[in-house]
Formats: sequence, C-alpha cells, structure tokens
Amino acid sequence: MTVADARLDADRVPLPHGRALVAVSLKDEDVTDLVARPVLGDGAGRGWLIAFIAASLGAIVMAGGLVWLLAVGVGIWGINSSVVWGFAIANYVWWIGIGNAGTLISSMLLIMRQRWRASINRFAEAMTIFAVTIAGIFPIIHLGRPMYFYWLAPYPNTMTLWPQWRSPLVWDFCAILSYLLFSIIFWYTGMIPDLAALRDRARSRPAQVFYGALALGWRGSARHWSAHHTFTVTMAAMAVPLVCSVHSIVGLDFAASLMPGWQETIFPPYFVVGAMFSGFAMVIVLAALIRWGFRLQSIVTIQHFDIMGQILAAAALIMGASYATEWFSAWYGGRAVDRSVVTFMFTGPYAPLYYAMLLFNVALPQVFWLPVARRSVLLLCIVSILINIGMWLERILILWMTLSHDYMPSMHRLFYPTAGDWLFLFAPLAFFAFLFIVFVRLLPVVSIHEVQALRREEAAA
Amino acid sequence: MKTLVATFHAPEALMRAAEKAKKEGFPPEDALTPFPIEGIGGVLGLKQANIRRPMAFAGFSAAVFAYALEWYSAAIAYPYDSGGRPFNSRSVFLLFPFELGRASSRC
Repeated sequence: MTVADARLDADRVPLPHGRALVAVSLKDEDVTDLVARPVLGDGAGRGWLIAFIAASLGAIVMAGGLVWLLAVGVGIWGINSSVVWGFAIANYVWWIGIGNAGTLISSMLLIMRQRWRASINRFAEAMTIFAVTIAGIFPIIHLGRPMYFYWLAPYPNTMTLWPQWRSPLVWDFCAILSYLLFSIIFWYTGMIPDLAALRDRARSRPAQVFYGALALGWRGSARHWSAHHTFTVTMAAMAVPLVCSVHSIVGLDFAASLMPGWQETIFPPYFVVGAMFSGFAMVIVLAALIRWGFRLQSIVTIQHFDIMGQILAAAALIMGASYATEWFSAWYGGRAVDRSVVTFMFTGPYAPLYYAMLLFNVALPQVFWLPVARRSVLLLCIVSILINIGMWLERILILWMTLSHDYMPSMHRLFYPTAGDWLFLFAPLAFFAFLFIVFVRLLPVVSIHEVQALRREEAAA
Repeated sequence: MKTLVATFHAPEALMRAAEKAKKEGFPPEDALTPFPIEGIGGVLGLKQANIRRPMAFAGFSAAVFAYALEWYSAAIAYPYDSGGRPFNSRSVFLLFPFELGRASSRC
C-alpha cells in the first residue's frame, strides 16, 4: 500500500469520546498511517508551505540580526551602565524554561507512568531541543567579545589559562551543553522504532535510505525492545535531576550574586517551577497547532488538554507562592535595600508590567480549576500565550527591578528597549517556528509505537 | 535444524503461541513486533541488557575526572584568589562534575 492511496481518511477517523486518551477504535496501522502520512506523503499542503516560507524569512532576519550584532557589538541593545543585562538574558532564561517542559513530559512522566504523555512527548522533546539551541545562543552573544566564548571550555592553551570555575557563566556553559546533548540523544533513541516504521513504509529510494540509516537496523525484535526499554527508563531517571539542575543553575546565575532581589535561596526551585509552567503553556499551543494541522484529533485528545490545564492551574499557584515568598522574605529579612526593591516592584515605573505579570501568571490560570475551561482548546491556547508573555515579563522584571534599583541611588537608571532588543526578542521565535516546521515534515511528530501501546491499554481498561 | 516462522495479528495470540511452544519444548528464538509486548522477554528468557553498569561507570569516571581537572587548574596550575574564596572551592566545584558526569554516561 502506498502512502498516497492510504485508505485512511483522517476526516473519517472516529473521534475519541469523553475522557479517552486515544480513539480506541483506531487500528495499529491507522496510527502509523496518521503519523507517517504528513512525512512520507506529498500532502503537506499549501498551509505548510506558507508557514515554511514565512518562518524562513524570519530565520533570515535572525541571521541578519546576528551579523549586525557581531559586527557592531552589544551597543545595538538598550543596556546601559546600570542595567547591564537586558533582553538577551531574559530571552535566555525564557527559552531554557520553554525547553524544560519537554524533558519533564518525556522523563518525569515516564517514570511516574503517566500514560497520556505518549501522544505528546515526541514534539515536546523536539520543542526542548530547538528551544535549548536558541537559548544557548544568548549567553554567547551577550558577551562583550563573543568571539572568545570558547574560553569557557577547559582546554590546554598557550596562555596557560583555565576557566573560572566559580563563575555562573561557566556553569551555564556546561549545563546547557549537557542538557542539549541529553535531549538530542533521548529524542533520537526514542524515535528509532518509528524511524524504522517510516523506513518500511517509504516508497522512494531517498526516503528509504534516509530513514533506514537513521533507524540503525531496527527490526522490532524482542531483544531490541528490551534493551530500548532499559535504556529509556535509565535515561529518564537521569533526566529528572538533570532538568532540575539546568534551571537551578540558571537561577544561581542570579542567586549567587550579592544583588538585592536576586540573592535569594528560593531562586533555583522557583526557576524550575517557572520553567515547567511556561514550557507546559508552550506545549499546549504546539499541541493545538499540530492536532489541527495534521488532523490528529484521534491521537491528541481533549483529555490531554484537560490534564495539561490542571498542571497549569497547579503551577500557577506555586508561582504565586514563590512571588509571595519573595515579598515576605524581603520584609522579614529586614534589609532596607531588599524592602526598597519590593516597594519599587509595586510602585516604580515598571509596576504596570509587574501587575500584568501577576495577572497572567497567577490569576488567569486559576480559571482552569473549572473543567469546562480546561476542555476548551481555544481558551487554553489564549491563556497559554498570555502565560508565556507573563513568564517573559517575569524574567525581564527580575533583571530590571534589581539592576534599576540596587544599592546606589545615584546608579538608578531605567532600561529603554531598542530596535535591536525587539529584533532579538521576535526573530528567535520565527527561527524556532522554522526549525519546528522542518521537523514536522521530516520526522514523526507523534511516537507511533507508544500510541499503539497506549491504545491497547486504553482498550483493555 | 528446522525453523518455523509464524505471523500473528494480535499480541495475545503471539504470547499464547510462544508460551505453548516453550511448554512443548520448542523455545521461541525471537519475536518481531511493532511495539513492545509485555511479558515476551520472560517467555524468550531474555536477560536485562547490560546498559546501566557501563553508563554508571562512564558517568562516575567523568565526574571524578572533572573534579580533578577543576582542582588541578584552580589550585595547582593557576591559583587565583577570587574574592577570598578557597582555591579548592569544593561546593561550587561540584556543579561541573555533575553536568559532565551526566553528559558522559550517555555517550
């Protein structure tokens, strides 16, 4: 059977009812068809092409922006002698945060045997890899002399110099590298059985060679499955501390300093929760797009959105508790400078943004305690986008509040974004879209074998 | 020696056949399936793949190497007083071994 004349018509696929995680009436080969067709068929369609061209233009703008930055220097941004960290660091923290949710879904939920992850883990992991890749650009370009970024690596050199191991920049470097490496390996090894399925379905020679090479000779032998399972669970067990360590280290970039508003022990866990929160919000948006674009309503169901909505509501409460802890410890700690920063948060010139952040991150997601709200994909998407805006505001405000209002009143200055700042805020989004759009055309967006197993479990339940 | 190859349409049928064949004294060699089937490893007598031990070994050796490198570079090769911190700053020096160890256990 060629993919072109696949007998499966996505419009005819039965929609799952009620709380089902996958349409039980699907057959195993239907699952493969649904996932393989956008990749192997010629039916990517005009929508994909338009999105691809638009995102490519954005990616070109991103490349142009990088050339501009490297040619002129960080002066194209609005940073000044007080607010020395601007959008670049906020973007870095935001993108790493987006990445965290993919690993959470693929590893922590695997260990906790949350079966619903099967339908969404593949593209969530892809999201992680692309987001971490983009995040990794920012610490390099925020340097005054980005061409020397490799000095962060310990290597024997003629200057007999070594990295400063006590510097958070070095911690970032090894955390991002380790995380990226992990994500790529975990993503790829999880995909091998599906790449073999694509190899077996491909009709054109180039596709057979491409997926055949990537599938590493996978035959679906019981021995393969056994080794695959052992490896996956081991990797997942390693991933959980890793993913917590990565964003903790990002939190330490601030907490290891002596600045008011940053030097707080709550920062590492607060950053980890914030990361999962914004990452889950991003997964919801991507899940809605993929479900709609590839007509995967029978695999990514309303029940998935319902569960993710519950996670958002719970995480929003933890975010609220974290913010309140910051205010409380500033007051209880009794240092005038800490109290002054908190007053500045609520009454200073950035206060409207701070209130917007509290609204988006803490208040609005509370609507998801209502089951009706969780089962509305549109509402989830809108709130998720607002959460992502709120989480970006949180990161930029962490920088601005402290740097604009630290110990010396004579140093108090505000930050005014420039065109270069806005470019490096929006162009990476287009670059991310570009990577994601290429991914959905080349690789299976959903884990075929895991959804097949999930369907059997759902049918048996 | 003769080999018999059979196709099954459902995992339950495959499991029943495999168990029966084993009981009759013809232990099955392998099962090729599109998704993992619970319990098939037991029927085939598969042992857990030896993956974890090499991973642990690689990870812990890399972590030890990373700490040794930090200690050598910061305390012996280029001792540098950074804000009065000890040359061998044990607590912060654990970050790099942690990340490198994790990275190495996978490669």
